[in-house]
Amino acid sequence: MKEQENHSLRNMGTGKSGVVAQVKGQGALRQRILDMGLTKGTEVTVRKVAPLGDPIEVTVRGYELSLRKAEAACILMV
Amino acid sequence: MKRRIALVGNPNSGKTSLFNELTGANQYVGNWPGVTVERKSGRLKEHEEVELVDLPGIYSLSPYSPEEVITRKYLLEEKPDMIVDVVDATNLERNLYLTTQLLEAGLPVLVALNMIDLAEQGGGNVDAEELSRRLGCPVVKVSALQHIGLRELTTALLCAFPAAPTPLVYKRSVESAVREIRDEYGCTKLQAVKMLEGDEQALKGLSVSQLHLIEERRLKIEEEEKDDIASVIASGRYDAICSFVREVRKGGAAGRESFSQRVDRVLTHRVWGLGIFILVMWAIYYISIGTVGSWGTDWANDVLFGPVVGGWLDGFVGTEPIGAESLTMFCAMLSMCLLFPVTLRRLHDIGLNGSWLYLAIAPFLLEYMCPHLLGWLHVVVMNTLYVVNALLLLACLSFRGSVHTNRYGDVPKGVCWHMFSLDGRAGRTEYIIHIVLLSALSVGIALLGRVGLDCSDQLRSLMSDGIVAGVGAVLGFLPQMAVLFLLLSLLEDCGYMARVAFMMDRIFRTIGLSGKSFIPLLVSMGCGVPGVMATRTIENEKDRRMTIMLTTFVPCGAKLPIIALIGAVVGQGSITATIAYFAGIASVILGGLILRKTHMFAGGYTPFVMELPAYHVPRGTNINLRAMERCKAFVRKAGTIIFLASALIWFASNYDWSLRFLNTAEHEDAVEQSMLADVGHRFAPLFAPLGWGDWKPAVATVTGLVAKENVVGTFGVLYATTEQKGIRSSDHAELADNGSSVEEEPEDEFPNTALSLKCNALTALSMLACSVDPAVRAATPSSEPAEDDDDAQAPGFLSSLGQVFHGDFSGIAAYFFGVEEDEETSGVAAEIKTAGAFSSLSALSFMLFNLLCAPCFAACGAIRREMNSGLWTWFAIGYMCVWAYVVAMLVYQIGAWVQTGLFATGQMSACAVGLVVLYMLLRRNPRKAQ
Repeated sequence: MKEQENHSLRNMGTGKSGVVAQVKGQGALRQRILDMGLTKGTEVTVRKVAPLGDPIEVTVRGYELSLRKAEAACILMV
Repeated sequence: MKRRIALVGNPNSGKTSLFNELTGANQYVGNWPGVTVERKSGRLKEHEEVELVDLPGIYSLSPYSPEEVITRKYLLEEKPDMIVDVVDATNLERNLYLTTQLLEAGLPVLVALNMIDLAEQGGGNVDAEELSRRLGCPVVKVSALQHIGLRELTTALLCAFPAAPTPLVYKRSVESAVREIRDEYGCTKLQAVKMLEGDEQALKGLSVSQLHLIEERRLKIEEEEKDDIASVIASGRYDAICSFVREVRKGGAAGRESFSQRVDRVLTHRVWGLGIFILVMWAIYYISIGTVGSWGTDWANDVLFGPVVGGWLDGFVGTEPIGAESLTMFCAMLSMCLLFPVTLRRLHDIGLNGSWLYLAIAPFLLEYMCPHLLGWLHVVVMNTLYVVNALLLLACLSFRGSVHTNRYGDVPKGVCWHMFSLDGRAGRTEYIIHIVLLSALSVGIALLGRVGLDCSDQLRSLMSDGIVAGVGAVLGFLPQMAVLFLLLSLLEDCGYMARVAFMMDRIFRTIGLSGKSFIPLLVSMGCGVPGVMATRTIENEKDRRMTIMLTTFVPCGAKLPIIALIGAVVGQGSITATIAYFAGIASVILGGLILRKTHMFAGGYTPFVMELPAYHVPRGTNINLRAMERCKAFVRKAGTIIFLASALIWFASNYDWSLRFLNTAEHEDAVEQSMLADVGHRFAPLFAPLGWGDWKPAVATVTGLVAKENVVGTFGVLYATTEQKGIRSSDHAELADNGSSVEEEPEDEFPNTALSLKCNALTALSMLACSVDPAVRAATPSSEPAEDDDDAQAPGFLSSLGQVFHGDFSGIAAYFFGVEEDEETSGVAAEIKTAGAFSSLSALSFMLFNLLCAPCFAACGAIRREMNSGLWTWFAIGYMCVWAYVVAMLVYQIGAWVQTGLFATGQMSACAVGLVVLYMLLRRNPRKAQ
């Protein structure tokens, strides 16, 4: 379990790219993340972290998306 | 035959732009996801029988966000004749995700590939025919901004076609399960998919055994795919789309993104990002509240509603005819206002941008608002402006114009009510007729100023003290509002607002809101009305409502006189002001925490998964439309709610119960016999627990509802002894007349009454000031001599900044919020002190109540408009009043306990109330407990 969490989008460094393995969580949040195109096998690049350290900005499917770290933690990477 | 067509698409895909182009309406458009809050409808240009409905932007048809619910409900229940799916061609993958869902809804879908010009920039190509073949529905390439493909789209909208069979996008196991469900229930594919997903709404009304059967199918799929159903379905859609896109898009289309990313590297930089943001916000305040806006407001108050409109009115209903200069001015202003809409249409008609009209205002701006800024250059600039304006008018009068270049279409024509509206076309002949008629009309109205109807005191008093004073005080803010709206629209249009939310989210998450709530709160420091209106940009309905309820807690510009007054009464200006700001911010935080735990807002966690749209160069028309729409809403409110409210307050304060006219303008002490005073007497005991159970503060609180500045003005009237006549803040002319006598008041006794803050909540601003320290120091000496005199209309910005370094905040506060060291305030404060009406503690509680309770009518009107529900409006206002009452009571009673050591009923009830508040704050979130 611990090991899995280390592989989440949250812990990926700025500028790094990765491929989504699984989206955890449930309900509205999970559906939203899936709807925005973060599905299994999608390539994601972490672009930057906000000045106050929380939301992060990622590039997915050719556009910019911002999501909170808590939400990024639900996205497990390969 | 009537047809209804729904425009559906992702947020920010250009739906509203397309809607505007197709219907000729002017809705606002923003480079910000979630601008269309409610749905809007309009008629297709040149084809009145077709109704277009602009629905809120959505990413998917899942039932989670209110926008998605609205759209889904509309599509499934009202069944439009056709869906136009607006797809951002620069971002095909995510946009087509919604398309795949729409195709399943069983309605005819037409895909409009918007922004095709940007997508095909740099040699790229989008193969519309291939896409059409793949999706099984017609695809049209359009660009709303470049007017590409609009004719083709209109033609396509006019012919009906049946719903196409949906393409196969899912894994085989899913497709077969969906087919089985469809065969069983005879529903659309969308509904079948939703049933499979376990969507509550789709499953409604099914028996237990049926539910069980569907559940079994779901489990089978999940086992086969080793993933849960939501993920299987979403992945299926995206995988299919990826294969479509690979076939459809060829080459190019990377240039725009890298530009956006380059800009973003600077604007949301980890270190400089916040600095740039503070700089941008400061610039907006500097321009809108400080310089340009305040020139406009000063002009509106001192000239427009003073000698010009006030003079005309005095001439009309009084005995003193209006002077020649004011008459000309009135005539010019009136004809300008009347001709504005038709000229705007005419400019569009001859193919020019509406922004050219700014040139018509520019001479006014220069002539009346900043003559001292330009010197000899002034003459050159003025003459150039006049020549350009003359050329513009000549162009309007001579060109024939063409329908194709006009965004408003060919619909209403002729001399009638359309001349006051912004719709329709203005041909050359109509324009000339309008000019002649409207000029004649304005000359006629202006000449009425010389009539001198010798009507009664009552009517005259109603007109000048009631309506002109009330409405004028609010409309006086219009220039500041207009500039502020214009700049905010600029930020929204270019895409910066989304970044602001991105940067500020961390702070607002603590109270359960998102970064999007920051802008309204910030704007509210200037004025609550645009602040409330700025909540439009929050897409989540709960967050928007909550932000509306919190945003007027922030002390706005109009509340500063109250702070200054109480500061003078208490004798500790800086501490009072600090308390005021602290109370405002604390109320936002605590109020937010309490609200978040109430039943209505306990929606728990709202995800902040937000698209950051690509930056683009702002477009003049868009910005103008949006700013104008907001200004119109503001004026409409001044014309309705505030008009009625000021008339009502005037009536209540000028008549006693036997309806005898008291004429308080001439006999100010007569107000004690008025209905308002009587009502005040009755309500005063209500405020006794707050420490000010006298009728005078109660009345002042009520008049503060018209405009918060009135609190000080009313005190001036009510506490004035017969020798010292009070001065009304709304009556500038009177203020100027009495200025000399007021100066004899012992103002030295209360130095720095207005906000001498040594440190306060606005530290951000002073931080900024410190960071530009060297530059300011260098610049200050050269600019100071010019800004020396106290009467300068706009206190010099640099000297204000300079004062910060001397540890004095009053300059900058005065600068930013227009609070000047006011003789009036200290005069009234002296009177209040003599009357002994307040102790320090009750004064403090009075201030807190007035800062936090229901905002002025203008803001209440804005709340009503944005909440779009009477119930919510009353709830919001009630919440604010209760909160204000609680805070004021706690402060007074606990303060009295500490001071005197007495613990009586008052203290006991205060403790009880305090415990209730603590419970509300600390209890567990009911949603989380579930």
